[in-house]
Amino acid sequence: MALRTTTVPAVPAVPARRLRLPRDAALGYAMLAPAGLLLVVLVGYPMIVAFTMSLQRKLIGAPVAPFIGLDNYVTVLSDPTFWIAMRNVLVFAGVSVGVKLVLGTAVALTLNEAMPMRGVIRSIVIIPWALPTLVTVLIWMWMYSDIGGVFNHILMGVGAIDEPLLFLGHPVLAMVSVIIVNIWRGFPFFSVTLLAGLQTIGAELYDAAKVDGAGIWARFRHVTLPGLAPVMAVVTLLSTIFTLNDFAIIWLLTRGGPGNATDVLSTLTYKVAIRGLELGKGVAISVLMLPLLLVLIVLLTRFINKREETA
Amino acid sequence: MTTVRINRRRFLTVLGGGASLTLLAACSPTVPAPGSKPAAGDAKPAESKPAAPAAQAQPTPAAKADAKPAGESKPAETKPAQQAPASQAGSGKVVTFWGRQQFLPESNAWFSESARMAAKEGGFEVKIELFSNDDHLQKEVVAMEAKQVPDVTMTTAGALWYQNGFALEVQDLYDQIGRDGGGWFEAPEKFSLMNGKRIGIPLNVEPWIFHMRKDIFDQAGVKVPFGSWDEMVDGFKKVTKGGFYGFGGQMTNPDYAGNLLCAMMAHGGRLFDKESRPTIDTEKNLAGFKAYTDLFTTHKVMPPGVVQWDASGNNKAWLSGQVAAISNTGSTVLSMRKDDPQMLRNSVFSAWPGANGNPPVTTADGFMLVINKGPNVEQARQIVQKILSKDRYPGNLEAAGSYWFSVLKRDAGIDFFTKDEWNKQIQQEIIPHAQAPFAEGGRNPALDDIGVSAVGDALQMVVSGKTPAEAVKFLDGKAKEAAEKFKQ
Repeated sequence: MALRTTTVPAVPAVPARRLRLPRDAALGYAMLAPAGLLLVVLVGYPMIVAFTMSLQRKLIGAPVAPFIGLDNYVTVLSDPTFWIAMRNVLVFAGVSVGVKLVLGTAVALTLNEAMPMRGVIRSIVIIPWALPTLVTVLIWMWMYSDIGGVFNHILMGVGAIDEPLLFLGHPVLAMVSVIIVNIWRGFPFFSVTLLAGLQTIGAELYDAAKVDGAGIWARFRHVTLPGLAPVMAVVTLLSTIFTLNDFAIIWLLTRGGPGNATDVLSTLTYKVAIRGLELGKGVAISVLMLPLLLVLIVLLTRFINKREETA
Repeated sequence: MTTVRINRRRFLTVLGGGASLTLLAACSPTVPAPGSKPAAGDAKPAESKPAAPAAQAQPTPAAKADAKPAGESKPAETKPAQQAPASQAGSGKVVTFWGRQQFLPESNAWFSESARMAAKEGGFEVKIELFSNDDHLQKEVVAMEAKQVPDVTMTTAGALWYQNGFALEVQDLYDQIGRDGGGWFEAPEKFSLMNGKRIGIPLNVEPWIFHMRKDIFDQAGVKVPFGSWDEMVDGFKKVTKGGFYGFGGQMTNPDYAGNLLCAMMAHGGRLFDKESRPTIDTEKNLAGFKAYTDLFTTHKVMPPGVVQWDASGNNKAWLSGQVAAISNTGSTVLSMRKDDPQMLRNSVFSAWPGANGNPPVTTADGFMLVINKGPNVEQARQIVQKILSKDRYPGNLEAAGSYWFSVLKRDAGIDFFTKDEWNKQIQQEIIPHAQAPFAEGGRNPALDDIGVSAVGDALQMVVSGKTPAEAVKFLDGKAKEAAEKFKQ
């Protein structure tokens, strides 16, 4: 069924316009109201409550929560653990997203070529992304284990090491290990999206480039990359936001350890707010994540708006 | 295809009408008022009730059921009390019972069945929810914050419940159950106290059992159980060779109460005093902390992987034959009983050897709290009483394998504990030394707090090259912070 609104019959010009415009605006606002209400209830209100809580000495379950101003922020910002977590989250997100972008692009380019069983291979590539995080992490945890773990078994089998490597017990190895899991889980998102982007680049552009004598690298640089850039930017920004917020992989694999070697802001928030029961302080850590996320969200929104304007 | 035109007024009218109907539908009651008869048969309301928790669906094993009076378990197995029509539920009250899942389904089933039997006898309904150990604390703290609490909970966070004003003082119930049960053991007596108040009812003792591989130590000419700490260290050194290690103890947070804390207590240390004030930075605690961490750093009798082990790390190391000794709860005894009886026959159990001649054993516990916020206090007390009653509790101890030991003197002498060789060792050699992690004091939220991660952080400090003295000072600071945090 097509839904149309009837046009208002012609009436004397000035008063009609004065009446018509506000009515249209009112209708527009009425249509937007449910979505706006949802945003206010589901996003605005919790944010205000959270911010208020970050100004209180709020312990979970405690009947009273005294107002303490910015004390929670001062405490958090003067705690070295917060800065370790901040550094870790930047390393974790930076390396993960960078590798996912490169790997995802390579896989997308490969899958865009004609090859036998291309459909099956494309489906297989999506599996890591489609698997539940818990399942993925448990499998990797077993593979990393020093007792019966497949990596150590292989490395010891070929004589590369004499005793098991502590993939999750050594500060550097643990960070590398959680990054690998994040990459493994996240690169199909890049591949699939970039593959879709690749398919929108017209074959005639490649043909023209070939006629002009462009080689593979020149075609990639001057045709593929410019064609893919918008998709790449959006996917990279989205993935950065997801990765900065990633909690499950790190928590399930290392609990932020050893020590604080893999603690990121989300795990630290959980430790402080839920396990440490200091809800106010934990919320303050979350609030301190906001500027980082806000920059990315603004970038993403601007980019999308710009694309829409160009289109 | 036809095109239907509607004007704005009509569109808004339809939209408004639809929204009003939706609101009305959402606000209408979905469950008939108590006592009212369903219009279309009795079956439907029962069908629409939520499915019973998994534990309820698990059948009690025949062997266990046969050992008990048949009339107790069979009817409830086939027709859980929850599925009874509301009109037969007497008071119409629904009591919510939260618990921790145990290792054996039989134990969960028995435990749940006791609660359902109490409900049946009392004419109310009970909704049982059992959470895994990993989820349980989080569920509880969120419930406290949201004030959406159960009526009774089996918990490890008793101090927090009480601190936040949710726990009913239950001295009268405690006395009554104690009288019926031949008295309480000493450790459970402490478990249920906080600031001198009886804040809950002990359910079970889960002692940390020092496991030793007799066959391995025999081959090395080492006598077990060890007579002293030094003997133990020598023994570990003798059996450590080529990827096989003397001792599998975590250098992480999990299981610290059965490992690091036992070592500190073995050297006379205590984390808190009788008034629950932190007393961590002492010579005795430092000696214990150093003795424990030396096993890893100096004597190298622990596998390198202990720095990344979770709570199951020592279980896996023991069961896979990677270590000659561990300290663990009865879960490993359970596993061996089921899957590797030969290994069980090669095992010896004792308390930790005491450096000062006094063997230390800390013990975890099951502990039930009646929540004072709500209308179902009396029903909750009935459930607690039933679980610990003479007709139900011994069966639960047996169903739990070697994981639960009795809090009541009456049931320490049941055949399961006196005739089974391994349980007998635990009951005679370990239980008498069992004490709560908070030792002489009562339940203490600051202890719970440092147990969440600070202890593991202190151990990791030593792994990363800091001295035990620095780590103990750090832990002391964290305990003082925690004590300050929980000051009212």
